[in-house]
Amino acid sequence: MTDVHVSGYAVIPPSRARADRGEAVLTAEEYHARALSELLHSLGIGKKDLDGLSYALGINRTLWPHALIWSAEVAQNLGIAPKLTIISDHGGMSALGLLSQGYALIKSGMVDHVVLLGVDSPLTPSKPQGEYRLERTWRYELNYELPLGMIGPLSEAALIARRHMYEHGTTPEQLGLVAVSQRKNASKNPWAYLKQPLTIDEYLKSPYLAEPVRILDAVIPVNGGFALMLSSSDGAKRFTDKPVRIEGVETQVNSEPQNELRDITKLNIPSARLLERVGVGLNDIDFLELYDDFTVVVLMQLEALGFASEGGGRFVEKNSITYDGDLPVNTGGGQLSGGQAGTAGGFSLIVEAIQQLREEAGERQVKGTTRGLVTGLGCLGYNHNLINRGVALLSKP
Amino acid sequence: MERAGGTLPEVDGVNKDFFEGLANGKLLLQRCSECGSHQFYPKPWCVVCGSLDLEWTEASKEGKVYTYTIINRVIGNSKEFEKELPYAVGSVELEGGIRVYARLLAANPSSIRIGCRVVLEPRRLTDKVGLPYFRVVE
Repeated sequence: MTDVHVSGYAVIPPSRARADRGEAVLTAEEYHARALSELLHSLGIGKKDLDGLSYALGINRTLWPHALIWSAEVAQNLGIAPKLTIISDHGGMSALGLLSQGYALIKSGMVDHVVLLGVDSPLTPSKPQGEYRLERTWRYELNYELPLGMIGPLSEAALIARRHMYEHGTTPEQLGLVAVSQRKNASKNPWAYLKQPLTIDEYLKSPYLAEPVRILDAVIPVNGGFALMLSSSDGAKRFTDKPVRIEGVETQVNSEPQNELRDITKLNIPSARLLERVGVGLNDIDFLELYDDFTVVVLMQLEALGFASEGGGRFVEKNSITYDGDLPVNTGGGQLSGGQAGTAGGFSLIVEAIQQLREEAGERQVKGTTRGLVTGLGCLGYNHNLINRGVALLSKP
Repeated sequence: MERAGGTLPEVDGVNKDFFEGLANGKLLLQRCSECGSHQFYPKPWCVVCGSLDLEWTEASKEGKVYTYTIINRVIGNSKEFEKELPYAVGSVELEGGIRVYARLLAANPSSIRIGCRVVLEPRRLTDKVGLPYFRVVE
């Protein structure tokens, strides 16, 4: 069976759609076209060459509604005819979900390549955002959270963070260290949205949205687009001499479904079974790209992966997690500083890992890196944490 | 659906007894007739054993705070809630180990702690719909 490689990638810089600041104001459809254009350019091929390939197209379901039968519309807009389309509704796990499905399609021999277009434009809805909010959310949020005055992911993250403080003694300063470290990484990343330096004092002065979650504990929403080309081993050779190998992907949907007395501070990502299958240990991993919708979620993953048995908060106090630190985490600034392009936000973490492994990360390059671990987490469950969990190992071939 | 003062739940066949129960002062949970598991939120079958045979059982009126947050800004919900800021919501752990999200009533929300005892004090919206509110007792 063939190996699966990432043979090309593209990033369209994030935007808050502030025309008054000269920022791009683009729809999801425009991001699809730009991301694909940039991807083809990086592969050194034109659209007609793509037409000659055996490939599938993968897209994420965006925050604001599109057609029920959407993937064929996207293909029609672009004038492309993939053998098959895959579409992810995994929220923050969308990028990992598509990577996983694309990996399986190539492994099976069904296609030679998979084009993944990860785009979202939460800041340019076609009608006022509030009008979509209640139509688009989970019935459990609509029925058992919103009538109480809860405010969606922010309030759910706050419930998790409060309990994390209780269980692990996590302090506001420790949460702040995640935000500050990632900002330092972002300052070296040309495509991060927030690059200006951040101090712990500034973090501690930032206002609460849902105490103990401050505005700087949460991602900054952006519009943005990403593209990845996955290829079989032979297929990748045609496009690049710097392929990145996907060593393996594991996902879990609706994790721990039956335990009403679960510890909501435990975020067991299926990394153990991935590491065992691939045959590598924690020491073989050079950097981490951890899904970061909120600062506390980064700490929970450091604990779950096995890096921080003393608690994630203590770990980030004792160890530097910047790109040049003891354990580099979210080397491009993650979504906290880089921006979260809606349900495509997870693509930014995969793209950052690819840039690191191709040694194209410029000033934030992790020295001597051969392997990175990427996670994707989505869907805040009722009285739970993020229940869709994906993890991938990427390496130099 | 928006109501004066907030957002109304969508009542359906699976959850109507729950909301009606709260309108009548009772917190009802689903119990599986086959395996005895309790569950919340209301679901169309038992998520433990897969039985379709579920019954309603009244929960105790007391619980304790498993976790909580103080809402400081209304984002992505009805602006009507702004009049009540700041307010506390939390996860209440009931006897038997089921947790339910609820509004937490306290004279001073900043006095709430994990482990605080709370007593059911449902908010009746209509004669068919009540919401889980608990009062924090010292």
